Amino acid sequence: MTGKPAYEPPVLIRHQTGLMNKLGRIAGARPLTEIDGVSIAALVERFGSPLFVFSERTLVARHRELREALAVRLPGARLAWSYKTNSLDAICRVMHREGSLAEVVSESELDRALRLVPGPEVIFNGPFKPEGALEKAFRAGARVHLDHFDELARAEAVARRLAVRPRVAIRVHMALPGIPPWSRFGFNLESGQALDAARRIGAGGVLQLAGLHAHIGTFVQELDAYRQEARQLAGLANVLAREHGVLVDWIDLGGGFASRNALHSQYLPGEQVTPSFAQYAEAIAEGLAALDLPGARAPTILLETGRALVDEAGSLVATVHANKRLPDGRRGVILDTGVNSLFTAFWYRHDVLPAQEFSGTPEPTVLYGPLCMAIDVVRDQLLFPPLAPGDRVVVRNVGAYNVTQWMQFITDRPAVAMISRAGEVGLIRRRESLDTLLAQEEIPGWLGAGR
Amino acid sequence: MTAARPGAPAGSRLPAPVQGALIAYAQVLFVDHPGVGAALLGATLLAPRVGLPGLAAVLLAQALVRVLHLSEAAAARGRYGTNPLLVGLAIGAWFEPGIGAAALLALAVVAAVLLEAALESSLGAVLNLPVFSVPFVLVAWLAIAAAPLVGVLGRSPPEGWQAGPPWLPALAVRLLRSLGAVFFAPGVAAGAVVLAALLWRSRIATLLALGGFAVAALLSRHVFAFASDTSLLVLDANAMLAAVALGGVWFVPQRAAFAFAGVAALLTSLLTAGALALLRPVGLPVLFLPFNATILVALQAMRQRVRDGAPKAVDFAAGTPEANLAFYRTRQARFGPGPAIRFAPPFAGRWVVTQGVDGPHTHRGPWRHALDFEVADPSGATFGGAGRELRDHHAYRLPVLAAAEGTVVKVVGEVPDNPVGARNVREPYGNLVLLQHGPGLLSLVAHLSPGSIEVREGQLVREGARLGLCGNSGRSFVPHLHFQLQATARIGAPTLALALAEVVTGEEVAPRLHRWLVPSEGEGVRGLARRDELAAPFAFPIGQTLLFEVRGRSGRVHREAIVSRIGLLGELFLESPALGAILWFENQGRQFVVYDVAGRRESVLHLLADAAPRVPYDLPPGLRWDDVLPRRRFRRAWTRWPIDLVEPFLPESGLALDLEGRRAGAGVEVLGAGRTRAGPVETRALFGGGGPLELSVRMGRQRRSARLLEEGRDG
Repeated sequence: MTGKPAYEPPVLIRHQTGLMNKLGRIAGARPLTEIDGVSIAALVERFGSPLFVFSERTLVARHRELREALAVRLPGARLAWSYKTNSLDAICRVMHREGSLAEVVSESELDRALRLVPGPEVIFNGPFKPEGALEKAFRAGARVHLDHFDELARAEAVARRLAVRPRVAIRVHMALPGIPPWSRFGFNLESGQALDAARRIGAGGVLQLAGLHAHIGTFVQELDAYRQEARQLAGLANVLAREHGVLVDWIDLGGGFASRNALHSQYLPGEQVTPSFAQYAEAIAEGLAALDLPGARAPTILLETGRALVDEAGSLVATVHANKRLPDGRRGVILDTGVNSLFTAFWYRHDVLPAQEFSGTPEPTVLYGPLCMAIDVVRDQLLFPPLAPGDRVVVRNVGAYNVTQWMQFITDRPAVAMISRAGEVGLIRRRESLDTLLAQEEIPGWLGAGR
Repeated sequence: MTAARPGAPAGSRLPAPVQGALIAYAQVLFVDHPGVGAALLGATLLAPRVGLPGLAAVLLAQALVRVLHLSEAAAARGRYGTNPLLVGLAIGAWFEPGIGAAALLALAVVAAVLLEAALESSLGAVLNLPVFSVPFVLVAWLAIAAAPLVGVLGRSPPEGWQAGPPWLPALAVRLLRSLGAVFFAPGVAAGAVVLAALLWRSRIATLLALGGFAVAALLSRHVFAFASDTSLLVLDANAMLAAVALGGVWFVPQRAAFAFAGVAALLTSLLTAGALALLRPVGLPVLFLPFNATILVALQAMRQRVRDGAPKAVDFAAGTPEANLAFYRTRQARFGPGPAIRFAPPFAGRWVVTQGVDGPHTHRGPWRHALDFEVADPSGATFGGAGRELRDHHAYRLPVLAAAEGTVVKVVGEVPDNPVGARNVREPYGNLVLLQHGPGLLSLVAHLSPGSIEVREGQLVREGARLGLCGNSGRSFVPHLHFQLQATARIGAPTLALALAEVVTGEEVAPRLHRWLVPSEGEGVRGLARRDELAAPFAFPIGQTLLFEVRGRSGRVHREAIVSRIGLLGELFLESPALGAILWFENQGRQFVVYDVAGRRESVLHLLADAAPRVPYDLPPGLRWDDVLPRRRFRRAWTRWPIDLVEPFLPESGLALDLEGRRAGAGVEVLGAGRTRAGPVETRALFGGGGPLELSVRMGRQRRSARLLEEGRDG
């Protein structure tokens, strides 16, 4: 990059330095040079770029915040770690160490969880549980949450064959105020289907109905939806106790708490809109006050909160590959990672910060990824200071759903590091390479080997 | 003279009548060990004309128990044995053998058994006092009075056999003869056997007996002037028994109990002198009358004390004085000095003390024993936002729970919440719930939110039941919870000392479980949570049998089966039938606790008690706790006896064990570390689905361990 600088046609940029508007300071005006006291430059030097970095401190702090918010209101409430949100072993281990059960939705996740926790501490959700998976779950003593009648019949057949009497729950869906209907999973409550399923389990005499489960949606910011959900499930538990003598051991309210990210459609930043854990817990406790099971031991309340626990703990460090001027005058920045690693860029207006001190005027910028695809946009519009190739940016709050939904599309997946509470840094997933991909591939005989 | 530990198996495989007969001998010295009984039987047989009638009487009594349908189980533990034994020994000592004497003996035994049963159901049931040898004294008097009428001839002891070897000092001869005299065999040899048996079973009891003897000897030298040799022996025997009974069996053998035993020996001596004078004209012997009178009066009188301490009465299943001392001290250290009722925190989750006992604001004077709580966020703030609204305060409208099971005796529910910063001094407690947990023991939660109280007066509530919501009513500037104990139902009554049981502190950095705690200002506490999956290994379903391979101190390996049982009073215990060991435990709450263990030392139950004295069913990462084990269990065998002699006068005797627990697969692993003079102690216990899987205790180079082989059900 020596010699004569490349010619760049002049553009007019409106100066907006340090301006305040009614929503506070302009985002992107501050650098983030370290995570939990560890320099980002040093992290990249050690593990390369792009790099996912997880903060154990934040992970534990969020877990404890939610746990405490529940504990003061709902004694005995438990969290179940949603593997699909982030199934990295290191992350799961932290969650289990903090007291979470495991919530899995596939046989693969079930296998993963059974390595880390005993069977009875695994909740098996999801609409797809083939016989082999059910058999594995029943043998391990996992809590299977039944999704539909076909599955119920299949579960009975498996249980009969294994001569076991597993404890199961029924998944329930219901209409709730303020949020779109989420009727794909479980049995409908209003139509009486859920109660039918409960009766069917009782009549079958093979399974033990021990729990109720509902999952009302994803990124739900409506407190009233949770209040109503809890009330409806409490009502169902009351009916089961009163009319069928079935006392459930657990009521699982699913997940869906919003993290502090902002959706593309959202006007205000997540910090201002997303309710606190205390508010969520309060709403649930209010709804559950409808439980009326005199003399019985209160059922354990379970929550499968994933996103809100892990999102803030994860950051993605990326390096500026090049700058370019777009025809509309905006600056285009090409990063070394995009939607291949950051699937959530499709949903969120991610908070992106420069990872070093900077000078110069922030200007409207588009952050592109490295893919040769039009969809590869990390942020399509933000005010960002000028960056030189080799500079770094940090995408914050990316802990949820990225390291499970990332793609090996065009490029390899990046490495993942974790910073311990004591400030130690460790690699928790190696960067993939061509060998990672080729290891899965076979060349049939007629294509010949070698050359 | 019953001092058996109720519910404890005698730990022998002897036939019940034989065991009962042997324990009858042992109980004369307040011991329930058949081996000691066998030694004492031997001592009496040194004078066969005394020993044989004694044995006959004991066996006859065992038969009578069966004919009369008295409790055979009680008889196997020595009841209906000791009094007939003494009757038999006395008749053998006093009368020439013959048909008449035999008939007299048989009748006297019948009378002694009946009288013991009768007194047991009156003295025992109404006053809750043991009958000791009162039946013997009464029956013996009757026998003496009746003897001339039935033509039985009295006789005097044979000459010479009670004389000691010439090298033995006179005082020692007197001591040994007095000990023998307890069994109507006032010989040196018999006394030596009695002394050995006593020493074998209990050093403290021996020390007490010697103390009683010293008192009697001093008195007889300087105060009383007894003419006859028999009078001296009677004096000594009564003083020694009274000292042992009060100094170590019925009271915990500590300094005060020793002093008390000395006073008892003095009183007994005085009574002996008096009784001798009173009874001589009517021709009746004194026997054990002074001893019985002294300790019955002393026991009943000491129960009228306002405070039970110094000397501390044995209010648990009594064992040897050594066991009593160790159990009491360990209990004191493990469960605290407070009331027997355990108070959990009156809230769920973690709250922070904002005003402690003797606090600077309102916890003063008669109301000093109180705690104020609020909820803090991770930054330590008790409110969010500006804190000007009630809603900003984290504690506001959080549930307030019953700290222990009790009856609601008072509810105030309609005092309005003050705005933040204001207060209401007319109703300082604001909305409140007062629970009665026992006589003179009530708990109060105050400043609740109006209209939030969910209980009614007269309602019985369980621990953890919701009472209402935290508010800001009464003398309260910001929403907080006030908790105190009091003795009466009056609002504003003085407070009683309080402690919270089984609380966890230091959650953020180093969580620690406290067996009980009076939290101080700024300290965050939470109760133990209940994790069913962690409770599973400690279920010990009743009737479950567990077979262990146990490796002992010497490396010897044995197999041992234990079985889980429940007692009449609902007490849970594990029993090792082969080794006669028993372990009492509790597993119903939020933790597994071993209360006590008794029986043969090589049993796996001792390993369990040492390696897992307490395991909470809630193990946040890094949780530590401590517990105290009786130090005696960890002493080298040869040091135990000498240390027993000074133990009562030492300040403490517990081995502090620092414990740490963690999840291990579906189970729990508990590691412990402590230190004795002999070196470090390390314990490890691994629990899994079926119960304890592996147990080990290492002290220096010695290691004991056990491994679960199989699990089953009792047939």
